[in-house]
Amino acid sequence: MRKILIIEDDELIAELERDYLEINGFETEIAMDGDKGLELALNKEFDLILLDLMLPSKDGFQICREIRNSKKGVYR
Amino acid sequence: MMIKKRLTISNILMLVVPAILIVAIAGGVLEGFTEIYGTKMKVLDDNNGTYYVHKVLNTYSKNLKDYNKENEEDKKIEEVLKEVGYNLIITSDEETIFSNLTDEDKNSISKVQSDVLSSSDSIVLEVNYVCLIKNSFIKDGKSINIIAVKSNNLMSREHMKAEVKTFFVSYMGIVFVIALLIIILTNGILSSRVAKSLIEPLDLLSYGAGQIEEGNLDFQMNYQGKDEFAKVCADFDKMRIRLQVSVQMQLKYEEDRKDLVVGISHDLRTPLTTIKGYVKGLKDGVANTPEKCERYHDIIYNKACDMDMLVDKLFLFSKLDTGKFPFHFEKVYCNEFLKSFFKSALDEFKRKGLNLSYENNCNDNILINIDSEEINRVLMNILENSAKYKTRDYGNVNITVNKQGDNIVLRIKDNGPGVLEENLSRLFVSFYRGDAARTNPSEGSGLGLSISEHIVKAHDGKITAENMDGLVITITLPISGQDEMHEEHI
Repeated sequence: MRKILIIEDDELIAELERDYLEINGFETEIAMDGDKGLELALNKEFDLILLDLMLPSKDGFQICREIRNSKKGVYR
Repeated sequence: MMIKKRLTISNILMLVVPAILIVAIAGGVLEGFTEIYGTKMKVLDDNNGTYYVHKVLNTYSKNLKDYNKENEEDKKIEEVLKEVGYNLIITSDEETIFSNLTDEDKNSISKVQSDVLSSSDSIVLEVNYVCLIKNSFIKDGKSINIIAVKSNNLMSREHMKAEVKTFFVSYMGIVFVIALLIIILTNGILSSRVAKSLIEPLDLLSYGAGQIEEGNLDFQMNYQGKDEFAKVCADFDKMRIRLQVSVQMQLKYEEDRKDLVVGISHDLRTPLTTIKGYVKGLKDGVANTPEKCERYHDIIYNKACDMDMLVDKLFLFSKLDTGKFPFHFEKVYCNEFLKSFFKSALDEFKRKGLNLSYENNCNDNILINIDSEEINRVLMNILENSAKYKTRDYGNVNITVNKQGDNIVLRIKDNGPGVLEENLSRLFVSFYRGDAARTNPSEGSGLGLSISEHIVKAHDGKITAENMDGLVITITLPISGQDEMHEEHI
């Protein structure tokens, strides 16, 4: 089953995304802030990351850069 | 020097300087004229010049050496007498030595009785229009007669009158022209000095007005004078500074307005996005169980309520901001009001994780003129913020009340994270929120403290914030009186 990481600080939006994805057969994991999301992205394997841009600790662009730098070739 | 004083001095100088110069120059001119008209004046002094001529003849007689022929002395005396209108005849023993008599003179002499003339050695006669002066003496046995005649004395008098008139007209004319020149010159110099002292500040004011017209308020009115214009220029500069402050406030207001619009857009769009998403989820069958369906409906309803509350707050903020909010002021006992608030807030905020403590150091009889409902709203807003931003499971909030002068000072201190020092000044700006991401709009609109500030200001009070092991909000409200008969009954 494909795994998707949702990094979204709005709990209700994150839950809705999870419901949509799970009903379509995806496995999901939710991170509510940038640090937690970055930690999960670097330590676990995901097929896709859904990343919000405006986040409390780190913004989406910064997280994206750090993930790409750390896991070169894994995410595009 | 003050302009009034300067004008007074200038006016005095405009009178005094020309007057002194005119008198001095008129005196000088008179001296010159006296020199020119001196001889004629002497003649005038002794009526028809008879005594002068008599004196001249006497002097001539004494100095005469050769009585037999015409000599240089005769010519000189002829010239002297000519100047005063007299002709002359000198005889020695009936023999004429010198004569410049005219026929008219001879005729005049003949009209004088011959016995009178011959019997007198020295005679001065004025008959009709004839003046005759005779001087006779015996020298070396010869009888010397010197007779000076002015035949037409009337003509001479008229001539002298004309001379005097000419003298007067010429003198007055010259003095008048010189006086005119002096007045023009003096007034010109003094007027230009006074005008210069007026034009300089006027130019400066004109420059200032021009700069303001061009929209430049960043200049200074450097007027060094100490006259009435110094105050005008200083007032103008104050006006410029006030205008500059006003423009800066306007710019800040515009900036705040932009933030407000951005804040409203964001805080309305976020719940709207959630509602839209969950409605779409229902339509798409994502909520595939009855429990999920119910949760989706609850979320949609709660978000709609959040939006409703936000719109209510916006409406309240708008009314406060435009000064159209209808306050209902009434005098209440400060301690009664605060104790009552504390009682009701204690349990409510305990449920939200806040331990409230209350310390009142004021007398019970102090009255404050407030809209109780709105001040209640202010205190609730502050406590809601402390509850929202607390970093521990249970936060502590200490409320202290003191009397300072004519004011009541409420100090609400929490032990939360406080606010970054650079953001303290923006705490009361509408839609300012501690988190830049505006993570949970449902938890706060950023309008609470802005609304609180408007309400406190409407009570002629003040609200400030500072960091001190947490956030301290201080509210100052004016005391409206003290009731001496009041006794504590709570």
